[in-house]
Amino acid sequence: MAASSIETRFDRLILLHATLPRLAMAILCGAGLAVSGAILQQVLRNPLVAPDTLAVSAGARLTLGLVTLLAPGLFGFGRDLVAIVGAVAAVALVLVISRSRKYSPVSMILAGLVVSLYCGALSIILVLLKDRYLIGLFIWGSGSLSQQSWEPAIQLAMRLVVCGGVLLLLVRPLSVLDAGEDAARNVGVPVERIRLLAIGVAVLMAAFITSTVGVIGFIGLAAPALATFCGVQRFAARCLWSAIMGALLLLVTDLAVQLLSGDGAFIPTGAVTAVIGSPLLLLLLSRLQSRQPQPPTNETLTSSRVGQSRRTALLLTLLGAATLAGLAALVMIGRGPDGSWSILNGEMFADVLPWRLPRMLATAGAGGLLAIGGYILQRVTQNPLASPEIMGVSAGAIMGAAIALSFAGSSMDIGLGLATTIGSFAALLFVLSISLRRSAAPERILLAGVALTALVDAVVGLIIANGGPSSVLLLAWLAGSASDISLPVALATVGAAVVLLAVGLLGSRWLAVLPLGASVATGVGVRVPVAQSALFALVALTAAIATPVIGPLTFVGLMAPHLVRLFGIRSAPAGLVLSALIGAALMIIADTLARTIAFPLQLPTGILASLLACPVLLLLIAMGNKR
Amino acid sequence: MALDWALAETMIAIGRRPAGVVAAADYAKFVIEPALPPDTADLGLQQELNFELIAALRPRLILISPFLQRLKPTLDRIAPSLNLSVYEVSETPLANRIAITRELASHVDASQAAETYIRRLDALRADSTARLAKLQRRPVLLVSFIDNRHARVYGGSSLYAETLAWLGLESAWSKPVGNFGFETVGLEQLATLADVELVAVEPVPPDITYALSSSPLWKELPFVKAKREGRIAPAFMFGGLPSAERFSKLLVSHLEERWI
Amino acid sequence: MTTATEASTLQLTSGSVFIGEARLLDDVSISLVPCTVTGLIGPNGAGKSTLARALARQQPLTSGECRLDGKPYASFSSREFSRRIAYLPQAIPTTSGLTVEELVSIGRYPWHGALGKFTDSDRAAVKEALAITNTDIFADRPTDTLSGGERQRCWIAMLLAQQANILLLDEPVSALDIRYQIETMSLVRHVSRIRNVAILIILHDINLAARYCDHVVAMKAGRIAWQGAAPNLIDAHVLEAIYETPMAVVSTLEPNQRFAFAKLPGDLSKRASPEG
Repeated sequence: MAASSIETRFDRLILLHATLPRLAMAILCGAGLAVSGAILQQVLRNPLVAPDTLAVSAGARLTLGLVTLLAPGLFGFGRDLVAIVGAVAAVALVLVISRSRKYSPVSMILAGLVVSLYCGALSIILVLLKDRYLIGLFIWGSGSLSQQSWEPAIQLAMRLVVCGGVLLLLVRPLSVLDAGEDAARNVGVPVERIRLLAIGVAVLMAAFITSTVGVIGFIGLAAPALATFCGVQRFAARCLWSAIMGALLLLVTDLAVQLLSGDGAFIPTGAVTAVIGSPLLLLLLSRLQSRQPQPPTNETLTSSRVGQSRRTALLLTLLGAATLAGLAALVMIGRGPDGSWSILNGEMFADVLPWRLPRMLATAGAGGLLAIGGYILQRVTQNPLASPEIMGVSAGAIMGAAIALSFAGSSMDIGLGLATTIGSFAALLFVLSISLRRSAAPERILLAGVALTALVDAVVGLIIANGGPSSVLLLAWLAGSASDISLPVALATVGAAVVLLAVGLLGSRWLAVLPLGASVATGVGVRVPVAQSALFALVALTAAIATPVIGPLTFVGLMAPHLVRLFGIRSAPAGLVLSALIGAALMIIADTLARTIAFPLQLPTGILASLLACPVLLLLIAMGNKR
Repeated sequence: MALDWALAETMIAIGRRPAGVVAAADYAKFVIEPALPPDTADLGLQQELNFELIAALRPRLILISPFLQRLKPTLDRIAPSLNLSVYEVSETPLANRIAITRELASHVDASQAAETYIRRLDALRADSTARLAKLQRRPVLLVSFIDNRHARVYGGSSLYAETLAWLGLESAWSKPVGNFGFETVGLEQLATLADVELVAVEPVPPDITYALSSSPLWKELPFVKAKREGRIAPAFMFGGLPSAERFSKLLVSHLEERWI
Repeated sequence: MTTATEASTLQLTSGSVFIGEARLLDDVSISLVPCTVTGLIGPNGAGKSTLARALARQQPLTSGECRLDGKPYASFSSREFSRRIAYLPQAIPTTSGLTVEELVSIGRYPWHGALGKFTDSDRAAVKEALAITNTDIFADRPTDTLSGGERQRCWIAMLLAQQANILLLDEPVSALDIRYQIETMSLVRHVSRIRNVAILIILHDINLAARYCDHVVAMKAGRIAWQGAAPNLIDAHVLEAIYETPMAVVSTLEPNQRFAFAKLPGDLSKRASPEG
């Protein structure tokens, strides 16, 4: 009798201090994220932005990881503060990148994705270098709503109420934005200040929530979309309905997760919402008005073009020779067992060369491939943020690897290569099926890739949250290790790069015409869907071949075309060759550094390339702004 | 040379020196003992082996874990490699790790030393169980805290849970665990009325104490009220026999202090 | 000069384009013949651009049929079609760093295709197109650095390099000042004569249409409201029926030309008269 009354008391305790706060937390987070999304969509006039797509969570996750691994003492100041700093920094970066494109929907999504991927790459290298077996620390990234007391919920509620108060003051001026920026300015709304303030409030709300429970994917995108879908027009009403929808969505998802998981594996709610939400992003894309891209060209304008073609030829020859010479020189340089720098000679030659040459060749080939793909993609879509890495093919490869690793457990090694190949080709087919549709605008294909990448991110998060050595292996694969490549594979990669470059050159007339828009291209007799599909297939192929070699996160395909523009080369064939050369050269440098910089540790080449390339890329884009 | 820490520590325990070990710099932080001989070469990250270095050192035998099985054909080009797994589920506690120790010993001509080592462990076990028998024993809940709301709880074939069983103690966690013998849970799932002893393996995040002390639910739990919670220094979770030895010593001396 | 055929005619019979409930083009028949400039006018939303796009095979017809030299459109491959019909869209895309010569060379695509060699005849055609349009003086400059009128001429040069027998121009002069408008219209007329081509040109300025076109077609609500010889357009009744606004016509003595303009509403016209 006594025992059962204790049990009842215990059950009541659980209900009061675990179950109820969890419900409250779900409602708070759902509503808060939804309102945050609604504000961002209003301010940026862009139905695709949300806290997730602006890299809020990626930034927060990276700083939390940094602090956990490097300076856990900082948590004394509060986990939330750390996360907020990261979130705000990431969003600021996204805004800076997309400013030159006038915050257009596609540019913001791409910028958000690039920043997210970069934060992810940094997180990976941290884990690899610092604390491989403490990967469970990254559980936070997957957004678990589990609670043990009311305190976090009450604290979050108070913060959200303050944000809500500021929001109330902003409702009127923000509503005026519906009439367009100029009209708003015309009636006396200080557009820039209001916009900045509103973004600040929205990001802060999302950051508060993210720092409390982790990343809850896609509620901020889905809830406002649902509200709009239900015909809610006015901004104030949209905020209100978004909040209600968001709260309901998260509550239902969380209850379902609790019911389904039972005593089984740990399933973070945030990852589940992301898995459900990514297809929604795809759906939204198909309803998005497809506009002809109107790129404000920020090209470098060379004053004189006399002798341009001769100079181009000279430049290409020089760079080609330099790449080869660099390869030959760098392959000789390395560090011996005692850590000293040495040049290969005699005895060492036979020991070391069979390991060093293939990885250099393979990474150079893969870099060239990605650069070819990136150049084609940026030309066809006229978007300087397009690249094969984010076209979804890499995502498919990761998905294949993730599934192989999680299902096959510790004996997964045999299937890994097969699974990644199947994954990338499945993604390739998916992307192609979209591009073959009559009305497919190039940017929609990019965005389909973005949605795929987001989905994959969620799945990978799910696997990593459950920890274990297999998740370490997945991370290593993501990081792009090329150390164990055999010579035949390396030669095949280089061969593929040469062949696909040749194929790309055959399509260079299309590359000259397609940027002028579908209408002009059709006018001069180009069958636009055919040309586009063929080029996209080529791009997807480059990614599918390169990804298994150097991993999905190199950014070389994104960066090489920017350098081509910096050289002032505008003709398509010369640009394509130059891009391939730059891609190969970048990877040769990255690979040499990866081998030597942290000796005796070697770093994965892919991730080192991204560490090098991304800051340069951001710099290039920022410089483009000034012109 | 050993490309897996569990195999490296086992080698050292049976008196053989590995020429090189992966991530030798971190070994001291996670495995702690037995310590690596100071001249052991660092072969790079487990995820990104320094093949040039491995080749240059010209090893006789390369020890790998199942996670490097993919690289076996590549490594075989340098020297014969041997794949031994500590992740297999064994019929009796630690049986698999004992078997691995014997197999490894047979490849490095140290079978005699291995038997000696295993006998020493048996003696340790007899001594420990005798010491524990004098105490008032309870089921032990083995966890490590991940952040201020989540913990890993150990069971199944994890090194910690197997060592616990090897010592004749009962684990308080009977629910299923993942492939590697642990499961991530929200802290509220640790709530139980049973009379258990909570042992947290370090490191413990700095803000966990505050989070727990501010949870009314946590404060109401019987084992918390009775102050039956404590922490011990880490042992390598994916380790071999030497890590089990270290963990059992740490655990027994911890429990002796608590269960007077 | 090489062309696909000496001259081409284009015939649209009962063409209609419905999108949902909207009838963008409703039972329109029109023909374009060589050596003729046909002006297409009408109020906003009358379906002028839709008609041009339909003729350029860029907008599928809901019903009706387009024939080129008596053969249905479907029987032409993309490049065969583009050798005969060239189309300049209303919104001219940015050219991202292409030089004028490179832009004009793109007009040769229907002749050399994706893989063919850029031959001497291609080079000659580009050179000729640059010369006719007077764009050869800035052939090496990036197109984006030119003024609006110069850029418009470059695009027309690209269409000329295409050596099509039929040109479809969607509002090529609307954004230009008077001098460039006159220049461009003269160029269009000149080209129709020396190349023996049929030209359809969408215009907003009725006086410009009357002066430079041979034939004018006026559209209203997706249908053809009026068509006839260009000078006959300048008639108050005709124009009032097309634009549904009061119109007036004045004549100049030397040379004898008539100009149409919209009447101001009553009170404003009083204020505008000098004695008022």
